[in-house]
Amino acid sequence: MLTLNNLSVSIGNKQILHGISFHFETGKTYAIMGPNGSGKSTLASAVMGHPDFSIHPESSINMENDPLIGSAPHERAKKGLALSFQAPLALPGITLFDLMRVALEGKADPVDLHQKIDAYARELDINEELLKRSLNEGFSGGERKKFETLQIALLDPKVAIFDEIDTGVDVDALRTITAFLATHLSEKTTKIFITHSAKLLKAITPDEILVIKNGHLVATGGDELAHSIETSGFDRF
Amino acid sequence: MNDTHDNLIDDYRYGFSMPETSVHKTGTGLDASVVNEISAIKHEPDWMCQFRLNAYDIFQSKPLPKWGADLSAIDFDSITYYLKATEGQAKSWNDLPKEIKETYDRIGVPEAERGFLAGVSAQYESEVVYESINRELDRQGVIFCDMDTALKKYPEKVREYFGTLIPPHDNKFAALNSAVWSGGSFVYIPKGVHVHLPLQAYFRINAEAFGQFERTLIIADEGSFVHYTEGCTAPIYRSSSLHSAVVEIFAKKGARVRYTTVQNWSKNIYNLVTKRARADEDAIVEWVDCNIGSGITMKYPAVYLAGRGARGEVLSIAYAGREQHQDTGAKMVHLAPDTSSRVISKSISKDGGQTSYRGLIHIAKGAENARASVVCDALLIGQASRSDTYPSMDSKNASASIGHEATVEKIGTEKLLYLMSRGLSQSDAEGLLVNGFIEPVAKEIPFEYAIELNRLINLEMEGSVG
Amino acid sequence: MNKHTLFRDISRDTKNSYALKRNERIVFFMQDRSGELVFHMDAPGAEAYVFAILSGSGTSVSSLRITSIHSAPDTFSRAIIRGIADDVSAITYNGLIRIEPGAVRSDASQEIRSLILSPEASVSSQPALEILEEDVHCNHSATLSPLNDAERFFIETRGVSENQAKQLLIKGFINDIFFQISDIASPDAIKTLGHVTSAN
Repeated sequence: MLTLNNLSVSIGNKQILHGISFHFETGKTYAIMGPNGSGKSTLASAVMGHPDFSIHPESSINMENDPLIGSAPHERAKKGLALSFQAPLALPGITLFDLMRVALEGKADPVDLHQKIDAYARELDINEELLKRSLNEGFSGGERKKFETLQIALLDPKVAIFDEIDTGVDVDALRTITAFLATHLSEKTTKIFITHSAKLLKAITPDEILVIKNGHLVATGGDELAHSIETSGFDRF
Repeated sequence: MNDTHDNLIDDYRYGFSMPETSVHKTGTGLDASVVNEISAIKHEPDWMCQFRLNAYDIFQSKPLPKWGADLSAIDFDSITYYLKATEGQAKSWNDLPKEIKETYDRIGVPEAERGFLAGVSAQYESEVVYESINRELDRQGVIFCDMDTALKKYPEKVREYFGTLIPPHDNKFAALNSAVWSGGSFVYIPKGVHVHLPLQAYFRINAEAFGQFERTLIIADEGSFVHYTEGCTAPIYRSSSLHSAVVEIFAKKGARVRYTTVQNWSKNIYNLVTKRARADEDAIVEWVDCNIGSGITMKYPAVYLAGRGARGEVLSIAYAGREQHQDTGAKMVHLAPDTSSRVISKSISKDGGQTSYRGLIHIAKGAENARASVVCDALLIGQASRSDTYPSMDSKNASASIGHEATVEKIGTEKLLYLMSRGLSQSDAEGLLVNGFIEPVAKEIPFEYAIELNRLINLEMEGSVG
Repeated sequence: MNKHTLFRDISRDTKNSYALKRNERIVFFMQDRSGELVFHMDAPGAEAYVFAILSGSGTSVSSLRITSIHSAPDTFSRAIIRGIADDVSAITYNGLIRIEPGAVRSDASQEIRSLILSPEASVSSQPALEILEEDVHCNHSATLSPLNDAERFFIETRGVSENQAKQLLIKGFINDIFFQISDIASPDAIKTLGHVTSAN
């Protein structure tokens, strides 16, 4: 579904990612782990097409054999790629509905969309007052992550990347979020979770784990890898 | 209480006067013949004499500014515009005239420090009487001398830059300075040279009805670094004293210049200064400006960000006590892409003092991605104190960003109560809070000055001085 | 004290000077009004909110000056101004908060945010403060900037094109004022303005 080939990424003069190659399969769940500053978020941003990052010429990012490099972020989104941000920004004067109505123009009827948003919000235990406010303005970390989750579900992507969906979120909220995703994300959706936390791993049960350290992909594996990280961290990579 | 009071008066060591030993002094008042006389005494090249005369005409033709502090009481006719304390200059501290050495003893330049200084231009009665450039500076090719010497020894360099950033017609007081300037420093740092010890200048005003018009020119060639500091004191007099200086700084590609001033003139002084820097590509100019003294100050350090990636900063502290008006600020002109500027202004008005912040941020059409930020905070203490903020920002470039923020308030009652409940007196508590308030700027000031600054603030808070 | 909040749309007013009564709370709103206005807080307990929107397009030149003068104790004023300059327009904003001696415990603020949308547009801002009373709290902030890149990227990742993202951000910039008004005045007040926000 999503193939990274020799992905090297720099910001300005500084190289962050070094030759990462990996293939993410349709419908599978992945966890990307690694110490702070290892480049995990950069990976997510670069795949999504953040203009501050420059991709080295030898790198490629393909989705269903369709090259993403050269496409603008919204084109990548239209192709079925979605990113839940680690630190979702506040958008003054723009409500969730305002944003989703434009994002899903032609794909969803506004009235249906309203109802769907209300229903999803109830399921995610989101205070309905927040739906009327400027998106993310004054929202707690947990509330912001819930709003990201809600949007990803509405966008119904082929590949969904969650950058630290668990950070700043309490235990109950995390449970609510993972349950919601399990219910509303299609089985065919490739799910990629960037995380530090072993707790989240238990909730999402990834098919494969990737470890990124200093911008390099240093290990991939299954349960044994998860266990090893839990007991001895990332030092041995 | 009286004991402390007397100690504090004693402590204000700066309030004393030395008998005049001036060798040459013009009469009071200003006209073209006085300008000619000054130029003749200094044996200046003709172009400088013409420059002065031309500036004098401009000075005469310009009215006093309609904005800013009240300058109506300046009596231009009663000021002496030139005073030279000794003939020639001394080469070491021992050669200094006795009175001047005594003055410095009382201000507090300890023996141990004298050898340590990187090179000192001591200003006495508007003429540099002492200068010594130590071997290290000579070896590096650094030029640090008084402006008169520079005019004689490095005339081409001086002529290339002098008056080009601040021409006489810039404002009335720049014109005045251009006509009657004397003394001040000339600094040239060659390419790639970093001067590690701050270059310092001490000077004082010491004659009744006397004006100081020093002229400083700093040229930092590509990739160089220098930190220039000036701290000055003046005795208390009855009649007004006029200080109208001009400072021009040229920071070439990749150079960095920091210019720190701690000003504590006595309250009868008018301190009207024009300071401007030009920063070329990737250059950095930082003005650190503390105005504690003088009755009236008007000073708006400026940086013209002329090259791509240039950066300018103005960090300033202004303290206005009874009968003081500090009218200060900053001016940043973004002329090139990727330029950035930052202004932090902290002012305190106490017991009827007035502080005014005047700022200008201008983004020109070609300044793509320029970034400017201004933070001005003001503290009001006591009845009848006043604080003004007059910022101005304009942009002609759609990719630039300017952010400005200002707050005015009194010292927090809760904070005061908290400190007093720990046993501090009210004035001690206020002193502590005020020092905390100015800390973001104060921490940029060299250590010796920072201590002096702290002490001065505490003295002012106790209300026993002035 | 529970103050009843009045709402006044002064966009088409010819009056230039507004004085609030004792303990009165008024929310003033104006869109594309140029000129010089003065708000007098000369009665104790007076509270004024002033919202202003200035939009420049074509070759328009707009200039607005808002002065708040506090001369009585326990008064409050808050001015929130949004300017958008597009095409070849020019917007100038001048503001003054003046607090006279005796206006103790006054709280006054001004917030000006301006967006420059096109290379030929220009914006200038001069918000001033003159504070002559110690026991007060006063602040102002002014920003001039283009649309925020990070916000635009965030929106684009939801499948929204660059142009659409910009339109959304511009609408949001103005809408933000209406959200703030409805927080302070009643939501019905917004309806009287004829502006529909998605909150309704």
